[in-house]
Amino acid sequence: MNMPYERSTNPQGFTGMGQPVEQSSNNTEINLIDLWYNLVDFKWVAVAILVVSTVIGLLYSTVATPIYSADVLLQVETKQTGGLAALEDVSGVLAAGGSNVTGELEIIKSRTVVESVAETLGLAQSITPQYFPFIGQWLANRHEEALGLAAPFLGLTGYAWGGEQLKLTQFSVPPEFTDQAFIAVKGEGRSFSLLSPAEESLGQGVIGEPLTFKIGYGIGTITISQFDAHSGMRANVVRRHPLSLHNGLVAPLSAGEVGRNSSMIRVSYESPNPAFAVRFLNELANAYVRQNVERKGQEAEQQLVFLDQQLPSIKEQLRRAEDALNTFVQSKGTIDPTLDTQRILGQDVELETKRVELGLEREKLLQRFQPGHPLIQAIDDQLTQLRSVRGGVASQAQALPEVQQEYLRLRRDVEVNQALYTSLLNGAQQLKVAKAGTVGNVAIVDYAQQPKRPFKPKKGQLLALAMLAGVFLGVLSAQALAMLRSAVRDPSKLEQATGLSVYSIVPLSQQQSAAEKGLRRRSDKVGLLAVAAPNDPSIEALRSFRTGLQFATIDSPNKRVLITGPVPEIGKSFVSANFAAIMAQAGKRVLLIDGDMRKGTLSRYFIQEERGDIKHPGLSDVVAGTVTFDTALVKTELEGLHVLVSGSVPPNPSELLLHPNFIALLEKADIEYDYVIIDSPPVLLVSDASVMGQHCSATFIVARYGASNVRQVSDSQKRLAQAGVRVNGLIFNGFIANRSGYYYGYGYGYGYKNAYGTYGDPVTGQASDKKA
Amino acid sequence: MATPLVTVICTANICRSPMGQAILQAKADAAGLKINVNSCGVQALTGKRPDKQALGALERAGYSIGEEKRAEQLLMPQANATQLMLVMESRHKQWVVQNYPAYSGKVWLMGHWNQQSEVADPIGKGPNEFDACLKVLEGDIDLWLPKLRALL
Repeated sequence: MNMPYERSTNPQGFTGMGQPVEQSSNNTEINLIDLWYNLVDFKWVAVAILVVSTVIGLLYSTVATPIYSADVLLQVETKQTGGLAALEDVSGVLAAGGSNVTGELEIIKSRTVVESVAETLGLAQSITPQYFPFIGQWLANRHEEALGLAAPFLGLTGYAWGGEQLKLTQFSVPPEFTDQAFIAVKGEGRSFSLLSPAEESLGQGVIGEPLTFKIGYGIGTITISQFDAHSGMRANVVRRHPLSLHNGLVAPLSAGEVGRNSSMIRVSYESPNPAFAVRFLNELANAYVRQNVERKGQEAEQQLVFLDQQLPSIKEQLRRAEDALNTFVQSKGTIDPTLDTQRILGQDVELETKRVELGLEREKLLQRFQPGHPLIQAIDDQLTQLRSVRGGVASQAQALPEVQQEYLRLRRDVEVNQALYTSLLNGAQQLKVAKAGTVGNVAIVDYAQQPKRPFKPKKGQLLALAMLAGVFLGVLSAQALAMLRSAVRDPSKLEQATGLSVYSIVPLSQQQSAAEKGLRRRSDKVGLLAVAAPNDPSIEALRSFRTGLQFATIDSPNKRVLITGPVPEIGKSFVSANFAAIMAQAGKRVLLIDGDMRKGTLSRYFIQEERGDIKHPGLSDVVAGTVTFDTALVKTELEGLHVLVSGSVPPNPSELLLHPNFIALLEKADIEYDYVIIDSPPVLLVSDASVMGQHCSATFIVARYGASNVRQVSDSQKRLAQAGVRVNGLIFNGFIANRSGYYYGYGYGYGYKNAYGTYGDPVTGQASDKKA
Repeated sequence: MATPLVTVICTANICRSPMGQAILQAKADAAGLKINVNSCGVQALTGKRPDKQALGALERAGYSIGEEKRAEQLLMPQANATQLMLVMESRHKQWVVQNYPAYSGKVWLMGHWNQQSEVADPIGKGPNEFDACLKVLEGDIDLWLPKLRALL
């Protein structure tokens, strides 16, 4: 480029470039600092939500029915004890190696076990008093039982208020009416009446005596043995359907293995009634162990049955063999068995005994398995072997003399049968012992103990959770509100979005805020900050606005300035009053007019109103002609600053502004004053601002940090433009520097060395490509 | 009332702003405007004399800047005391607004009345560029003089 000084036309304002604080120039990017200040802006909302949720948490944890949890600890042994030691080697293969804990968990919850518990504890029917919704139960629980019945609250006798004692001995209904609440109503003395679930009367009964009633196509009976309550109290009476009863009992029940492969099972039960939880659990544990023992004993039982069947026939065989031997011995006289005979007999008896035992074993197995089963196969193999061995022994016996052979046969029969009988008898005895001593493979390690404290609601935890939720919701709501409001914190963003330049950034004045807080009423006199603290940063900022204002009105015929804003409460009056004061301090003659005839508050900077409803005469009165301009004029502590307050509230402010008197007033002021500053009502609420703007040479919109958003400002701009009013620029009020990545009065640059060649960005000190 | 003070601002306070200072002071004196002019940088090479090229350009155009002129950083007292800050580029304006937000009303572009134009930096370039830059400054300052009169 041979002409480096070409003018580059620059858009208004301070366009994007590196900034001292990491600040996204991208509007969609979420920025933590922004989020934090959203929270700061809406801190009261967040705090309120936090408080409310904490209170709800507190209330809930106080009112909620306390739930108690009890538990029992069971051990499932994986080794089997008991059973027939003699048969252990064979049947041991059959028994599962380790007990399956998961299976046991299911058994604990099984219908068989749970229903037997329900049977024992009489849970299939229930009678419960009706409590007042939500808080009734809590109130009743608080009632000391020793005091007897609690008096009905507010005369609500239909509900229980504490101290009631009810006992249902027997209750049966046709199946279709199970799980439905019948209603028993306490009558006078020892009477009660029964209502069906549909509130139809079923009859009158007497406490302690059965009442039979007809319902549907069936008949039911009820016996209430105890009904201590004030007359009129209603109680729900329910007969449970077995399935739903089981479901109801299993729901608060949880069983699980403690750790992995520990074979320990912890079963816990949650209930509002700790005593019941304990009773139920202990009963459940017992029932479970009982059924486990029964299950384990079943095997011995089966074997015993088998043996008991076999024993008589074996005994008979033995008797016959003995008879045969006796008869033979008697007929032959004394027989002296030879050594050979003895030896063969021994072998033969042994083999035969074995064969018979194997036969029995095979028969026993056949009850459980098909003949092809490996176990039976093994026995068959052994039998075949035995037969071949016996063949050898038999051929030896052939060599013996006739008598000896006969004796040997008979003797063998006796001995074999004897051995067999004895062993079976032994087995049966052992099985009886084993069966009696079967302990199953589960044991109760710990019985349930009645818990002292409810485990739910856990007050501390609940409160912590409620507070946490409160914090979360509070933060979220603050963000949501901030998003809805999408208030601007960075004036340069407002500049970019609206195309209006910011003429002045007015920092939030601590002193002004403090002064406002000190007031008893909003209408009390607050005074001028420009006078009270001429060096306050916000006054400095307004002072620097003079420059801009003078440029804005440099070629104008009149020096009327309209200070307006989108909505109320953004500091229009503060800006106009103090700016007028600053101009006066600089030696200008200034007239300040409160243009908000509906709700003008400018007077509070200058006069203390006597009463809220009687207003100092002002603009409306002068335009209406009821008061002269000079009478209405308020002289202030500052030479050269005169004020015209809003005056009494007229019925037709908009029409007054169109009155020739209004224009006449302005023209008169032009002659007497250097500047006329009009504090206007909000643009977006009333049309007055647009009308006034038409008579002014400069119009400025006040936007407030953290309150105004782009939409409001651009809408105001449009509204004014429709009336032909051009907005000169913005005054950004209530600015908090450090929240927007601005500094306050920290102007040290980062020195850089190199004056020739690239030089640093004036902000980051980093060498950077210069943007033209 | 004290004589109003106008501050000309560029980056390092060695090229553009000293030239601007000298030109504005001379033209204001000639027009009978009672103002004092000084200059600062947003990242001043504090204590340095103005650039030789800038001094040369001023001399060729018949302006002069005091021997005692040294680069200085724009600090709080300066920002407070001045009535008007004339900056060369919008990013200077941005820097000032970010560091002294309360004085944002005082910060104006040197080229504000000249379609908001910026004055480019001639640093490290030759005499021709410096002369051209001085021309631009003169043009902008001529536009500013009547406005300054209105301020007084």
